[in-house]
Amino acid sequence: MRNGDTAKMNQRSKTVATLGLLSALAIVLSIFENQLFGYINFIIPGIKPGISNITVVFALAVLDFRYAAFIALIKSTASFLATGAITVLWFSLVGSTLSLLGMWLIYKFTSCFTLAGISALGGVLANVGQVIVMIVISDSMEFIYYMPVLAISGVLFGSIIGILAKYCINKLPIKFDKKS
Amino acid sequence: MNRADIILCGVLIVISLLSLLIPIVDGDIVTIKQGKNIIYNGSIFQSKVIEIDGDYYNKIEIENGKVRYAYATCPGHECVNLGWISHGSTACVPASTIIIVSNNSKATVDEIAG
Repeated sequence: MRNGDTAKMNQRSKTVATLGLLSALAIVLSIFENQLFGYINFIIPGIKPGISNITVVFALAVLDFRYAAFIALIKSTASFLATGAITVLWFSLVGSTLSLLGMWLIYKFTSCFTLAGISALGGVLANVGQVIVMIVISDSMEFIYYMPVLAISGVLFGSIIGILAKYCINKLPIKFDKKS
Repeated sequence: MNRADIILCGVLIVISLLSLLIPIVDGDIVTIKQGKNIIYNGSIFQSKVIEIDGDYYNKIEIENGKVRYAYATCPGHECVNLGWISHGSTACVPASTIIIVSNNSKATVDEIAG
């Protein structure tokens, strides 16, 4: 086997292993967050930091859009299975899709933002997606009043998640071909 | 976080604040929906307890111009924790139920007349 083939195979194995680990982490963090914030959401009801999004931001930065989309899909499915409610699946899918598309566009076509800003945009867009689903389901525009609070929490938690993702990438003992 | 990030965050928050330009007034009509089906539509000043069975059970209370999810079997209980509302809307996402408080003077007049 040529050296080039071996290097390609090693890279592929590394990607598959990372994808598996990130998917598992996304499921665990999703369940953890649902359980934890089920008990403490009386502080600010309806607001969740979206800890599991760290796996999506991480995948977008070190792997690729396709892998990040795969993890987002796994995460949405985990949330759906945890609650058994189809509405939750729509919420999660639309929020994740909008968030990921926004993050990918800004990540691919601009160079002035760090992962904190990219993730903040993702946090806000996820909330925008969920409000859109709520408006469509209820056929009522009233849910738009939640946007300011959701945008502030999206920016706050999104930035923190982006900073954490960057920290993890820098601390990672292995390096990926793609630059973060 | 660099300067561009901070500007982006500021722009996002300012855009979202635009939704506050829509005036909020206390409503007088409560509409409760399960999906798109209307379960209840009536005055917010008429005390009532509504129970909805579905994927998850919801108990909704209407009292003195306010409405709330009093009890729910959904996983997060976020709907219950949101408490009383007198305008706008609230929802129990896992149960697909929605409470909308709207201002509809015509309906109130009809209701009084009826």
